[in-house]
Amino acid sequence: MAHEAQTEPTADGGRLPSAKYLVVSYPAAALAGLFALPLLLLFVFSFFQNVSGGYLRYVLTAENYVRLVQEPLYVQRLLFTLRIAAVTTLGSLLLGYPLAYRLATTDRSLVRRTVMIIVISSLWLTFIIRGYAWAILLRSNGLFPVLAARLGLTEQPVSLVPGYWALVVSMIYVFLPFMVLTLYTSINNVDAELREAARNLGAGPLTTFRHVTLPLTKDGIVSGSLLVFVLSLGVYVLPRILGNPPQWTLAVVIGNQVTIESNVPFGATLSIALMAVVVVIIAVTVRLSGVDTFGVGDAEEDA
Amino acid sequence: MSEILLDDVEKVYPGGVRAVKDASLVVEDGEFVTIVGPSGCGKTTTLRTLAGFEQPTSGTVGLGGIDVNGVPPNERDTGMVFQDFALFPHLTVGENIAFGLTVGGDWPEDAVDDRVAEMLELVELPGFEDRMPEQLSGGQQQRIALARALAPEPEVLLLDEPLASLDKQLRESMQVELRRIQEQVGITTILVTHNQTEALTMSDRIAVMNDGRFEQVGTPTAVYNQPATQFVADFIGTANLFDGEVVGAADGRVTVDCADVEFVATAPAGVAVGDAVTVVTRPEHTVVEPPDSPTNSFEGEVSVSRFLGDHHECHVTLDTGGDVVGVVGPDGPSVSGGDRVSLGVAAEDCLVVVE
Repeated sequence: MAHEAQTEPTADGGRLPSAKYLVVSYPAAALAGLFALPLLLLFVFSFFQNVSGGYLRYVLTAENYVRLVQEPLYVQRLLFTLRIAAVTTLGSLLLGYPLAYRLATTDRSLVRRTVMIIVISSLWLTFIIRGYAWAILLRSNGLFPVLAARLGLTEQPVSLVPGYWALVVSMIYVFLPFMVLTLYTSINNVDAELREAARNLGAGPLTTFRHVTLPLTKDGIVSGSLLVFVLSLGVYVLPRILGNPPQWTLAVVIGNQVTIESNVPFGATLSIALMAVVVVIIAVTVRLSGVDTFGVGDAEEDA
Repeated sequence: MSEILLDDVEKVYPGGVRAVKDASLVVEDGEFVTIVGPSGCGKTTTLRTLAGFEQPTSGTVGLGGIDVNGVPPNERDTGMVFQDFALFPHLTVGENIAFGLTVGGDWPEDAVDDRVAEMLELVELPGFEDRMPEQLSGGQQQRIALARALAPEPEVLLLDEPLASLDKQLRESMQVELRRIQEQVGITTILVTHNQTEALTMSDRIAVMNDGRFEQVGTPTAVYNQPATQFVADFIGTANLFDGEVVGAADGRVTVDCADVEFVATAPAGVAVGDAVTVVTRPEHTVVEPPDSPTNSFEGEVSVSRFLGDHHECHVTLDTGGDVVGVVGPDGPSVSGGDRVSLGVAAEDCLVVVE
C-alpha cells in the first residue's frame, strides 16, 4: 500500500518522484551499461558471420560454435588453459598456505609487515616486466639453469624458456600474492585461542592444524583458489613471452583471432565458451564445498 | 605431594619485559587457588606457563610432582577455560566436549558419548550435544567450555578470567556454580582474575600478584585481615591508608605518627620505633559517630554519603587533611554531605603494615 501511495502524483506535478527514480536507477543503469550490455553484444557478435577481410555479415548463425567444437585445436587449447590454470592454482595454494599461515600467526609485527610489503610490492610491476624478468632468469645463461648446472642437476645450463614450466613458474609468481592475501585474511580470522584450546586438549601441532585451522580456513582456501584459477584462465601476456604456440592459452588464441585473423565473431565465440566453462566450474565448486563464495550459491548461515 | 609447583619462575619476553619475577607457589591436591592482581601484573603469563603456552626463562614448573619445563601443552595434564571460551565454531557442543577424548586423546568410542552426556549433566545443560556454539548464550558457552576442559579428566583445571565477559548477575551465579563443580569433581584449580570479590568469595587461598611478583599468598581472611603489604591492603577490599612512622611502642601497642593524624594500634610482630609503616583501616571498622569512645577518633566533614542497603557508606574529608571512607552503623545517625562528624577506629582494627 505504501508503495502505491508513493506513485501518486504529488502537489508539484510529480517532479520529485521522477528525480528520485533517476537517482535510484543509477546503480542499475551503470550495471546494465558497463556489464550487461557489453556481455550481450559479445554474445550477439558470436552468432555473426565473418567475411574475409575483416567484414561482418549481420546474420545469426551457429557456424562459429560448430567450428569451435569441430576443430580440435580450440577444444585442445581450452583444455590446456584449464589444466595450466589448475596447476597454477595448486602451486599457489601449496606455496601460499604456509607463507600466509606464518604471516597470520607470527607475533612479530616487523616480520609480518616486511613480508607483506614484499608480497604486495610484486604487484606494483606490470605483467610484461615480470614476464621478461623470468625469461632472463630461466634462459640458458640465466640464474636458475646456471645454478642447476653448477649443482650437478644438469650437465649443461639448459634454457627453460620458452617452455611449459617457465610459464607455470611465472604464473604462480604472478598470482601468488592474490592467494596469500586471501588466505592471510582467512587464517587471521581464526582466533589463536582456538589453536591453544586444541593443544590444551591434547592435540599436537599437526592434529590441531587438521582439525581446527584447516576446516576453519576452508572458505579462504576455496575463495583464493577460485580467484587464482579464474585469473589464470585469462593470462595473455605471459604465454606470449614465455611460451611457444604449444603453451598458448585460449586468451592468446582469442587475441590472435581478433587482431591477426580479424575474425571478431569467432573471437567472441571462444570468449563466450571460456566464460561458460568458468561459470560452470565456479558453480560446481561452490556447490560441492558448501562455501558461500563471491555471494554465489545458497547461504546456509540463514538456516 | 603438591599438585602444582612454581619454583622461582621468571619470564622475560623477547624485548626485555620481565612479566614474572621469582614467582614461587605450591598448590595442594584439590585446592582452589586464585591468582589476583591488576591487569599487566603477570598473572595470565603465570597461568600460560602452567599450561605450557609459555616457557619460563628460568625456574621450575611442576605438575603432579613432575618437572614439566619444556613439555609441550598437549602433553600436559591440564584443562583450561579461556577468557573468550574458545569453543570450536565449526563443531557441535558434543564434538567440542569430545575433542579432548577423540582428537586429543584415545578414549574408546563407546565411552565418549557417555562421558559427553555426563559432562553436560555436570554443567546442567543435558541434551545440548547437537547445538552449535553460536546458538548458545554467554553463560551456556561458559559452561560448555568448562565441560570441555574437564572431560579428559585432567589433573589440574586452569581458569583464565572465565567470568570477565559475563554480565554482573550471571557472573555472581557462575561464581557459586563454578565452585560447586570444582568441589564435586575435586580437581586442583587455579583461577586468574583481576576481580578481588571473585578471589575472596571463591578460593581456598589467594595469591596477590603485583608487577610480576606474588605479594602475599594466604587464605581470603588472612589476606583481608592481615595484608602483608600496602598494595595488598589497597587491592583486596577497600582501605584507608596512612603512611607514617612509629614514634612509640608500649604495652603491645604502637603509636604511629602519620602526616595528618596520629594512630594508636595493636603492635604487629617486629616493629620498632623509627620504622616507616602504613596504617590501614577498613571502612567497616571506621565508624561514623561511634557509640562508645574508641582509641582513635577524628573530626571531619562528609563529602558524599551513599546508601548501600544494609548500611551507609560515608566519604569524609578530615580536618587535618586526607579522605577517609567509613560506615554509619545500623543505629547511627543519618548524615548527608556537608555534615560535621566524628570517626572512630579501635586500636585492634588498625592494621600496621611495614613498608
